[in-house]
Amino acid sequence: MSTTTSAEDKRGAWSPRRRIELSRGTRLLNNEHVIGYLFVAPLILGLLVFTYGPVVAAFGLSFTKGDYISTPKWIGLDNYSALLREDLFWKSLKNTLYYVVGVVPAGMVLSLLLALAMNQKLRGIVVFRTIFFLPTITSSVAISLMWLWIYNPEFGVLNFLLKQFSIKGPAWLSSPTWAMPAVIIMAIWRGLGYNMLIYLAGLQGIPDIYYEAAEIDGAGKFAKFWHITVPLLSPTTFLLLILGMIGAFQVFEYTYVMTGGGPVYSTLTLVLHIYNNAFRNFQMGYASALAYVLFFILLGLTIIQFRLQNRWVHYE
Amino acid sequence: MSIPQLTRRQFVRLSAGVAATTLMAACVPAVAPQGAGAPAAEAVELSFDMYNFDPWLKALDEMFKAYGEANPGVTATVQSAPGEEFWSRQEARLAAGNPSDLSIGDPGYFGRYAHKGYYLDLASYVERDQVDLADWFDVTVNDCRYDNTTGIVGQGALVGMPATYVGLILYYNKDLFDAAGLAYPDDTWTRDTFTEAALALTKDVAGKSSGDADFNADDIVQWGVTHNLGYGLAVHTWNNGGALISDDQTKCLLTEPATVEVFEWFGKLLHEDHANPTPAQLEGLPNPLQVGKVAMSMDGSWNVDYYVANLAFNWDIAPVPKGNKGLDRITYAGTNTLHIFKDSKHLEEAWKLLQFMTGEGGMAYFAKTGTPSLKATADSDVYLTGAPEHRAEAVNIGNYAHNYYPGLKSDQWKQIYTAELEALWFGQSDAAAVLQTICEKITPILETPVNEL
Amino acid sequence: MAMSSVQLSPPRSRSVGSLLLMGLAYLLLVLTAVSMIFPFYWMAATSLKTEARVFAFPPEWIPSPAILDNYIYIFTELPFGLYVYNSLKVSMLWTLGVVLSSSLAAYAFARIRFRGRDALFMITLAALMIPGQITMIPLYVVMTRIGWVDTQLPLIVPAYFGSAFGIFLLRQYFMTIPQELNDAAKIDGCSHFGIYWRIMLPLAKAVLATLALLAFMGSWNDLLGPIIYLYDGDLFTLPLALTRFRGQYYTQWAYMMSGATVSLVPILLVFLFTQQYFVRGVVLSGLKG
Repeated sequence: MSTTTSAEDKRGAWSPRRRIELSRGTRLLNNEHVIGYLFVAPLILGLLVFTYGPVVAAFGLSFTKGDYISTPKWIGLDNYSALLREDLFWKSLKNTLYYVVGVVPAGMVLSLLLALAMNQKLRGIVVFRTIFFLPTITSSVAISLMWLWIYNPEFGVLNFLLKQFSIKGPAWLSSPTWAMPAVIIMAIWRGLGYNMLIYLAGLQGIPDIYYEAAEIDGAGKFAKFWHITVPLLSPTTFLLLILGMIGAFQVFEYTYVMTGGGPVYSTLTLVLHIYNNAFRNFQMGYASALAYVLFFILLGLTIIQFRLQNRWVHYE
Repeated sequence: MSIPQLTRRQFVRLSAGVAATTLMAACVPAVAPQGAGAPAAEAVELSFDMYNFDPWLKALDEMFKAYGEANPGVTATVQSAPGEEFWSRQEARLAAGNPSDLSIGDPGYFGRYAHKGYYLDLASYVERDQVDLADWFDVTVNDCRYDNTTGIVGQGALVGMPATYVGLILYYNKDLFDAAGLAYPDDTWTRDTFTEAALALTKDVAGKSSGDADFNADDIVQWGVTHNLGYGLAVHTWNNGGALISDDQTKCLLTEPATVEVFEWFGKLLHEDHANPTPAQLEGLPNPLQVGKVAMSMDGSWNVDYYVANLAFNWDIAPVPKGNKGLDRITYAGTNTLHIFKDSKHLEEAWKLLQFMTGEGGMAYFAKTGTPSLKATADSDVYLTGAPEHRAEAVNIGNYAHNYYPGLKSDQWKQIYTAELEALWFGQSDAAAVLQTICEKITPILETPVNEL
Repeated sequence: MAMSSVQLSPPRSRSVGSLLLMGLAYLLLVLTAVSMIFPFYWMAATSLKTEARVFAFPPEWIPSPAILDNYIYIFTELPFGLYVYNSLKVSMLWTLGVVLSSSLAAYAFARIRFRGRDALFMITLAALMIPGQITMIPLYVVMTRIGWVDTQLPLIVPAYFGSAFGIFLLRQYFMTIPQELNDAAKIDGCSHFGIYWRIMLPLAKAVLATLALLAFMGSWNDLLGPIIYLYDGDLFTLPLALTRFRGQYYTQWAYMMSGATVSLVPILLVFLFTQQYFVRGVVLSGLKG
């Protein structure tokens, strides 16, 4: 049995001393690598069959002109060079970046504040939490319809309120300037409950003793927040940042249902463009190429985030 | 803390169990082959792929039940999916090689499957069983044809049979006409009379009509008319002697004077006369006619039965207005077509079912969902009894209809057409400029030879 | 550190400014809450209206007449009980799978050092970066080859093979649990699986509950999966069955909203159930000294 102390453990499984210990007749099943792979075996199998099989097929299709129901014609990198020359691709990329920058940071900050508010030990706080979570679980058709109505320039609530301040509100979803901000506002609103929930779970993991110790030292509310909550929540923040970014880059439903990509392509996001190419124009090969450009952008951004995390994410 | 080593063994057992169950489930044979190799006396199951439309789903259920009673060896079932995802699913099924036996079609989409040879060519069956195609409206039969060499739907091989058809008509709110003291629309109306009525029926909060001296365009309570933008513009254009693209679908005709005139007229109707609400003003308001916000609606006859059930005021339908040039009236019509997939394992039974569905037996059920394309049923009491008063107009359109250019290229150019026209709906650009841009963008698509698509 | 003798500093007096700020914050909170409840209210109100009055203008805030006919229709015309059963079955099995497989993999990523671990984690995350529309058809072909089409299996089984979201969520949480716990357990002779089962899982109750809720919700509201894989009406899940009112030509709003309202109830119940795990300060009862 191992009698190493935790300090020696920290030197890693590959330190010479550890290796010697392992080779002394310890059964194979005690090997960290094998155990690790046993834990992730279902994951690997699932990834191969359900994810990467189709992913590779779609990747292959991106080098062809065609679809899945006829013999594809190999055209090499033509799809990729064509998309770089296509105005709509760049427009949709720009729109998507606009959306991501609008939704992700603001959404995370607001939902963190919301989570802090919802973390109070007040009677009936569960009712409030439920209310904030409602938009996430309410049917998206009901939500889209409600927001379409809110944004209606003649009868909608928003312009009605603005009229009280003598401001003539724009025709939100029909204005190339305001359509995307309108979608962004709706997206932030809808995502609040979801992010709030995950932050709440993260807040559960911060032991009370830290706060109590800080209070003894005379720390005020803000100091406690900044020096305890924020750092200890950073793994959750990191999670929400990555997932939020990946999700926001792939926004589809909002623009598909609310604006159809208009007006004048101002809300055409990348995945909507992909969808149009795949299922309206039936140019599956081209659509796949577009999807892979998105994939590589996301992969690159995520890897960068992971490299940077050492600077601000505290795991312990 | 002493943990017995059993936990690891338990875990191994658990994961083995899960893996085994999964593998066993995976070994369940694929959807049982439909009667492959079974003798003809065995029960045959036919599947019909259909997108969600509650009236149709109900009608099909009843129809198939009746068919099953009359033909004990055959069970037909409906496989439904919501409209947007329906075509993607059908695409996936074709890719995997297990489509349904029959399916609903759509002139906009079926060109693709016809071109790739997935639909059964019905010519030999029609001939063998001496089916007289004149029993159905010409327009509807032609909507089931596809020409491989030109990529156009509307001519060529017969790859389906028509079920019901829909087209553009003019709905009007009788109560609002009465309040304004105007005569109801009839078949003498031209685009000019139509415009006059639309202006007179556009009211602001003070009761002034559009065109009156102190009409307040910022406070409109009722518009004169609303249009289905896609089909509506096309219909007005045809009635003016123009066209969107050439009938052989290789040339863009949007910049022809007759066409530009119509779009300019409509732009004026939207932005100067304010007689038609802009898309912006209709957001969150899916049906302005239903809530009394418009007096007339140039929209599809597919709404007739919904309106019969749900409109709370007096209303009726009329044919679309003629143009101003004395030409015969033209309107849009499209057909809901039914097809058999060539790879079905029961072609003969599928054909028999198809005959029933599009013959008098099935049409009696279809009549509850829309205008039947079988002349006998359309002209009979089965369909014609009921509201509104001029219900026959919905049947009549079969006699003067034009299709909306279905074909292999239609998805692509229509997408661009619709997106670019937004500049006109939002008042950012004038008609001539927008139409010029569209022609520039879609001409390359239209000129692509079919085998390169 | 003996916690019982901690003395909290006396509450500090609040300035008017900070009270005002708090008041403003609460006002904002209440306004936001109202806006959140609004679509739900509209949905429920619509379900009580006749179809003709759904879009009446000016909008009818309180349905009059308020009718239950829509609910009666969807409960009697459709085999409602069957759909609810199907949805519950699929979603609960899915949730179980996600929680089990994700926690296993997350533990490995967080606490076991094996070769290729970080690369594998990135590969797992990368699975989230491909839009589903692109892999839909090839995945369907895979499912057809395995023979799972026309069954509920594609909506259940993949959960047991890992969920990228669940793995990421739990890994982050596991990594915040102090390494000392791991080491102490190892010294006591605990295997990795033992640590996972006896220490990590109980400590992560709130996060596991959250994952369960989100997985349940995702499965319950999933439309694309059931649309693609289920043809036999008897296998339909509730949200799928309710799409029959979203028609090709027009939508029957009143029926659809009734269905959507009913569909909400199970998720709300699961949500309320998970809230019991959100109690402050339960963590680290095992850490001494």
